[in-house]
Amino acid sequence: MLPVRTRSFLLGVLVFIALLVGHGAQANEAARALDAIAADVERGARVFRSTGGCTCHTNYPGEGPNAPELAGGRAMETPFGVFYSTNITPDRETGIGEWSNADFARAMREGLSPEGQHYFPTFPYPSFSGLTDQDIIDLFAYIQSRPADRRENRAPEAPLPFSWRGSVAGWKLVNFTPKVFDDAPGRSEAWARGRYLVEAAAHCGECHTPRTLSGGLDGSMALAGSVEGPEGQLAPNITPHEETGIGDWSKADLVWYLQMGLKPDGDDTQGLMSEVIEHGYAELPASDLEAMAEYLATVPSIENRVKAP
Amino acid sequence: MSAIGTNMGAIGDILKNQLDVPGGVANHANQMADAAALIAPAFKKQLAEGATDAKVEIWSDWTGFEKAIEDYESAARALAAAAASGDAGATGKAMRGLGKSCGGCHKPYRKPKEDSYKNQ
Ligand code: HEC
Ligand code: HEC
Repeated sequence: MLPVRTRSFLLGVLVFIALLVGHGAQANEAARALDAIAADVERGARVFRSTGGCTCHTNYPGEGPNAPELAGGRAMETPFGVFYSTNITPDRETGIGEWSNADFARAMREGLSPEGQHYFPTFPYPSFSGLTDQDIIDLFAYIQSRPADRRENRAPEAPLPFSWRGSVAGWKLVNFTPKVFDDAPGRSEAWARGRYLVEAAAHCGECHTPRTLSGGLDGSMALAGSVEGPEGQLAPNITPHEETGIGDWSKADLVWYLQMGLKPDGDDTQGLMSEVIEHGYAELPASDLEAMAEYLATVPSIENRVKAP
Repeated sequence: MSAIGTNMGAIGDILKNQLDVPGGVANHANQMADAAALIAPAFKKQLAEGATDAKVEIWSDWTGFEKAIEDYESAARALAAAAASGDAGATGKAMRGLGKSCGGCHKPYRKPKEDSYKNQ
């Protein structure tokens, strides 16, 4: 007979293993469920556009309008250093051609690579975590249908600890809760669709919401504009505040803006916004753009004048 | 430039609100195309300091700047023609083309708003 302490220790180990196996079984089940979903490439094209065309993965600023689509290598300047977007073409060695549906879903929802490494939050998975299974699978199928391009990923140019992926685990504890949407009781279908697009797929807040010192989105200032926006650009306040936001824009103004990139005063759009419009939002059906306008008119109005520092 | 912006805003108002202004879009578009002739003289003299968002590249690359004016003018004429034909799809496309021609000049030759004198 083994001493009691050893026995309870062994029991503990067994329970732990059982839990691990159980967890693994759950993960396998989830993976099988994802693999069982039939992908629709056409629908995937629409999801792709609703993300703004994944334009951060195409190096337009560095390589011009003919930059290889989705091959990554685009520099993202942040207060924590320079991060480079990754190759998401179907290239088997340097892209994501070997990924399964479950791999792609885990990256989009949990910010984890197939090897279990954390992605830096320049990749907006906190928003994408709200995407539906079907949208994720369709989007993956669409991306896999684009041309493959061989290009190695680039390591970030950031000081420690920010260049260390392990530090992202701590960042996630503080800043990341997967997005879950309620049924939007009392709201129209268009409003719920608009919320889904704005908050998840189109990830407007990843650029338009200012960040806290630790680089998480500041929920109390949702969509109120960011001085340190993406690539160091100013992202204006898009809450319905009259003087400092877009409260003076009509819904038609906003739909037109997302289609044409032209503001109510006739001026055009600069920076990343012009890219997400041109390669994404502009090609969405008008019903989607109207839904976004309907939702945005109802988000909390926040006074915040965004000016260059 | 603010005149160009005003015309662009007016066309936008007509199209996005589907206002019934016969010939309105084509009129504004033609005015914009005519205004192309005024751009080069307005920028002939180098003035890149003070209350302006013109970049010095305008004068270091004057032929590129003139090419951007030409592209803008033909995009405005294309919009006038599309609007006159009454084809809404073609008009939308031409509008986007004209919008792109603004960026074709603003990207290389106009200071981004982070550096705009209005933000200083
Ligand atoms: C990749 C970053 C990014 C994303 C994503 C993004 N924006 Fe923007 N947005 C910007 C930047 C930068 C500007 C400033 C552009 C300019 O000044 O011309 C801007 C400008 C705007 C403006 C103009 C506001 C004004 O006062 O001039 C509106 C409206 C807007 N965005 C709405 C949205 C909506 C709605 C979404 C989501 C559907 C969205 N944006 C997603 C970066 C982004
Ligand atoms: C050939 C070059 C060129 C083209 C084409 C062009 N712009 Fe401009 N635009 C400029 C430059 C340069 C400035 C900055 C000048 C300044 O601040 O004095 C500017 C500034 C502006 C401004 C700001 C004016 C202000 O008062 O600060 C608006 C609005 C504008 N452009 C609208 C447009 C629109 C709309 C189009 C297309 C329909 C367009 N522009 C096409 C060169 C161009």
